[in-house]
Amino acid sequence: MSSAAKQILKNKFQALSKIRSEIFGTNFNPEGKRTGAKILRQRLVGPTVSNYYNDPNLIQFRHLKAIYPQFDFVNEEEEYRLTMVAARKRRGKGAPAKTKGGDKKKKK
Amino acid sequence: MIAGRFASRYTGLRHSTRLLSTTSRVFQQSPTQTPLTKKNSSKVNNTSSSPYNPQVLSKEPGFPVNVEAIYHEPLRHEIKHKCLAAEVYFKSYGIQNMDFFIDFALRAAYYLGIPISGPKPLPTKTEDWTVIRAPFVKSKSKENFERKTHKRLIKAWDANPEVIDLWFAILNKYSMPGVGIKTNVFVQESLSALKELEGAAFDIDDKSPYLKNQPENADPVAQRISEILNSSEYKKGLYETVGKPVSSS
Amino acid sequence: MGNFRFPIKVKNPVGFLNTRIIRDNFKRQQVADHEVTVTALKFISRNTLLPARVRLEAQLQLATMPNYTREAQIKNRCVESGNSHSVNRAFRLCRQQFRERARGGDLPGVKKGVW
Repeated sequence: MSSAAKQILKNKFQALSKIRSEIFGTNFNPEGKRTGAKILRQRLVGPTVSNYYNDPNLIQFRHLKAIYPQFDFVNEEEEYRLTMVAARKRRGKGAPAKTKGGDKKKKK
Repeated sequence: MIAGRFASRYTGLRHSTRLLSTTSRVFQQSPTQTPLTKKNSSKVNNTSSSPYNPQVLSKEPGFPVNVEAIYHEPLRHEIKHKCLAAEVYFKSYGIQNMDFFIDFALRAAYYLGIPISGPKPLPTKTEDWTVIRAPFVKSKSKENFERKTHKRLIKAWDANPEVIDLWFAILNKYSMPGVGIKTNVFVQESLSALKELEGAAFDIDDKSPYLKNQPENADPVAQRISEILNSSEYKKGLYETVGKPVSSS
Repeated sequence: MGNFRFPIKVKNPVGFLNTRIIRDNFKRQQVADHEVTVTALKFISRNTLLPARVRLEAQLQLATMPNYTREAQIKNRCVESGNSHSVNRAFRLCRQQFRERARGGDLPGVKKGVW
């Protein structure tokens, strides 16, 4: 196939693509210029990314008292923790007392 | 539990749940698989006077037809017009609940008059994870975990959308734990309805018809681009060198 | 509970909290907020049909945007331990947490793979 014939064929295909793009509303870029269209095509990930950790508006135990003031709630986990703390204190294993002004025993 | 697993795959009677018996179980022959009508139901209910034998599934006199039907495979209506009304996909990590629920769905569809094809088992997706057992080093000893997602497809034909909606409502109400449902509904519309849609969407005079009727916030990126390019610093750059505006599409 | 460590106040997630999780969460929120602007600027800077000055302007603005608006700075962390290594995307857990829960039967459908 001669180069002239090839060129004619190429022109025809290009004309066809142009009409096709007009009909379907797609981009037409026969010379392959960098128009930045690929950046427009990419999906936005904002919501997916920001919802990775738990929803901050999830109702926690500390909110329950404000929402339902007429009820008495018991935080079982917290109660358990407090009993453990009291038990440790009773057998002399509680947290050490806080020193005022920081620890001055740092050497060298 | 054998009963649930094999029920959908093998035709005929369901097995009784007598797991501890070691002797072979003898079951009564099921009647031929004709739809239960008022005519032949009396035949089914009449039991011959046989001596009491706990190995034989006996039928009490006065067994209702719909209760009797539970002991057989779910009945189906014939697909006459081949108009697909709905597709129902079932997904589950296990098979038992899903198969049982599908069986229920088929029975409900029969009572509603919906012809059903299926259930078609779709390829099972297996996800594998290999994890080092120890919290620190020791990468030579690992442990494998897997999760299988089983899928089934049911197709509902010929029925009206209202009937299909009713069927879905029943499935929703009596849904089983661990079984996910996804439905595609197909509705036949008249040509006049299609013409109305076309008239609303397209304007012959406008050059870019598919853009014209887009809502305000259709593409936030495009909006922001136009905002940025219309801001003072950028406008200078756009108009400076060339002297006339350059299109940014 | 105020967030004094960042210039913009962001709510902390519920559950296990860690300095690193708090930092990562802040970045995630900021990326989500600025995503449209960043994409727009990137498009302008990459579009060869626009005059060079406009593209340069956009590129400079992009470069001067703070680090917490960049997607590449986000790292998937384990939701239960804050670890950033060996984090499984399907469960958002690091390998140890995943293994503990999988063996304990807390992850639906997950069982030991034996064949």
